[in-house]
Amino acid sequence: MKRIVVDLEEQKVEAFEDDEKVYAFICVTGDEDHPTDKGTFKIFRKEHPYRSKTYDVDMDYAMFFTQDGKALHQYHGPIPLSVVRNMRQGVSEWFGSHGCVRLQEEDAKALYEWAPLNTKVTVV
Amino acid sequence: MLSRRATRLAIVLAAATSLVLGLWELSSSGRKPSLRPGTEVFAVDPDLVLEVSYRQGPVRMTAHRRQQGAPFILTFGEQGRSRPSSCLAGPGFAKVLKELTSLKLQRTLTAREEEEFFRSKPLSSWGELVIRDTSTLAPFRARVLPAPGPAAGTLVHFQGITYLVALQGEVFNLISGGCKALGIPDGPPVRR
Repeated sequence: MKRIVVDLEEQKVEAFEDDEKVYAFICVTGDEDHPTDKGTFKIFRKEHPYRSKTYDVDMDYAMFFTQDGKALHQYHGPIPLSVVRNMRQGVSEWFGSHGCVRLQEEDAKALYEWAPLNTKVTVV
Repeated sequence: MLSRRATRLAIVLAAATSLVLGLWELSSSGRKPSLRPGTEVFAVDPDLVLEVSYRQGPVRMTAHRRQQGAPFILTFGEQGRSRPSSCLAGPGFAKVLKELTSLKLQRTLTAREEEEFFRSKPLSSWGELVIRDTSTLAPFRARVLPAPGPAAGTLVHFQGITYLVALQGEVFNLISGGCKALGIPDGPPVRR
């Protein structure tokens, strides 16, 4: 069974097939005002490309796991994700997302191709 | 955590870096690498769908339900006909819903192919598909057209990209069949 684990403390995403770890990616999750919800969810909608009407931003390779629109998706900002992640961890949570789990383009694409609808997403 | 002053400085530095890198990205942007064939370019759990509407030429279909788990009520209308027909969704609609909620990529059209194709079949002549689910997300909206010629599948256009997906044209024939094809056979009349 395929499952995805989002680790808020470590700012990383891991993907498992049964007990085997298939992927381990860095990510950036929500800020203080828009935290990424902890709990167990499932991917109920996938869409690529995707543009958020709420925030007027691209969210390609979007895999939605909460009813209010939180998703794993590609990070589109100009600063490298690894730098943003460091700033979120070391400077301020202000550098976080609005609750989504942002991934580097190649990671978001790989996860999108790998995870079918109904894949379990656990946020810890 | 650093002081508020250091945070502000970091934000200013980040903004400046964003501007420089953003300009660089604008100058180097191009088409994205295509997804692997078989990947769903759009998929939604059919159990969470509340509304499906399809419109192409004179054909109009709306399927809706008030909540998850409730049966769908189908309404079919044809431009020029004053009285639409309604019915409860049957097994035919379940099949259509399953197909429309899992659009598997066969291939992505190149910009050149799109341009040539749109010349003979402008997007305005394609069908319009809208799927709304229980979430707060905006509904999925796409233009669809059964692939012409020998290619099996359907062309789907959304967010500026045209895909050939493994959706058989039979789905649209079923929709054109109205209540007779998609409703419960000899089902009760439905109040809209």
